[in-house]
Amino acid sequence: MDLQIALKEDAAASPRERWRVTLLAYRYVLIEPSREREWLAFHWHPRREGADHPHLHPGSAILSRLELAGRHIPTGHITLADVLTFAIAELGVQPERADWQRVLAKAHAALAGT
Amino acid sequence: MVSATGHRPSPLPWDLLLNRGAAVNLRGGLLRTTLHLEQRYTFAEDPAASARERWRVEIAAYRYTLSEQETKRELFAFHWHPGEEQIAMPHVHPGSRILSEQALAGRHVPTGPIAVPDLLRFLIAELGVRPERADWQRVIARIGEFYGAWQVAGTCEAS
Amino acid sequence: MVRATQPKTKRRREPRLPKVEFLSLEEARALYDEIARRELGMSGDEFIAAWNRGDYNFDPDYSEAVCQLWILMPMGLERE
Repeated sequence: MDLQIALKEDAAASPRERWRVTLLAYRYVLIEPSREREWLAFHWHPRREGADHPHLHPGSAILSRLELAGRHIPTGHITLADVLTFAIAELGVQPERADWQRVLAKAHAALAGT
Repeated sequence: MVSATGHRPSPLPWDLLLNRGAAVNLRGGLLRTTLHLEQRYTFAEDPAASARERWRVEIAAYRYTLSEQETKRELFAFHWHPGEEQIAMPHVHPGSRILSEQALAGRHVPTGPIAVPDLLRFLIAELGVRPERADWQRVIARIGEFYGAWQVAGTCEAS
Repeated sequence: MVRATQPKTKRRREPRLPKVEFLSLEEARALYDEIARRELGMSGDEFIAAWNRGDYNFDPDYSEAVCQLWILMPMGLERE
């Protein structure tokens, strides 16, 4: 997981709300640990020409049609909470906390505004 | 051929569909594909807006499915069907046809809301589907202007 | 006298953007029925009844055909 963020100060705001995080780019990759091959990679790198919209790469580890390797499948902005929810709810990853849904819903709400 | 079922406010949503609900063969591309496209939409009024901008189209659900022409098996299915008990967020199903890892078949891979311009750009720029028009990028950009900002909750708006 | 002329440069005519056909309520219901029969071998009303009964677990992802008929269900419903 990689995130590129910017911090912006609003000098007129209260100390609690003075700093705002803006997301500039992200990379969330699900990898098969045994062979280090990618399953799914969620990317957003707006400064790269031709692929400046949020997208998803299906990894070679899951593809039977290799013509699709490297393709940029459109997505909207995906938050880290979305990826973790997918990993737990869809891929059966074991969460550390029983209240993971509440935690991730709160995180999603906070992250979606960045 | 694009068909729609309503152009006035109504308690029930309306529907938009391509080729009267049948698959459309796409020309060219890495893979020989067909496309199904359906959307559900409503009209929302902003009484404070000018007469010209009073009504907005809101997309309430969609299904864009790419399938293999010969076998009709799905390659990608982009879905958004909020309001039912199951998955409410926009997602894509990678089809069994493209998966070597069948554990992922049927999974709901998160996407944000996908607008038709995003889909068309993917088909042409990524899958090599042949556009009917040389100025396809301009047309798609123009369509994209009609889409407002996607809301955090995942609703899709087009003005 | 022979006048040499340059052939006019033909500007490529782009295909027109497709028009939208608006269906009447009756046409929409008939089309919904046609789609339901084609995809699932049942009438539109039968699909709606099956959906409401929970035959598809209220899951639009039950299958692509079910998803299509769920999204288009307003076409098959009675409107005032």
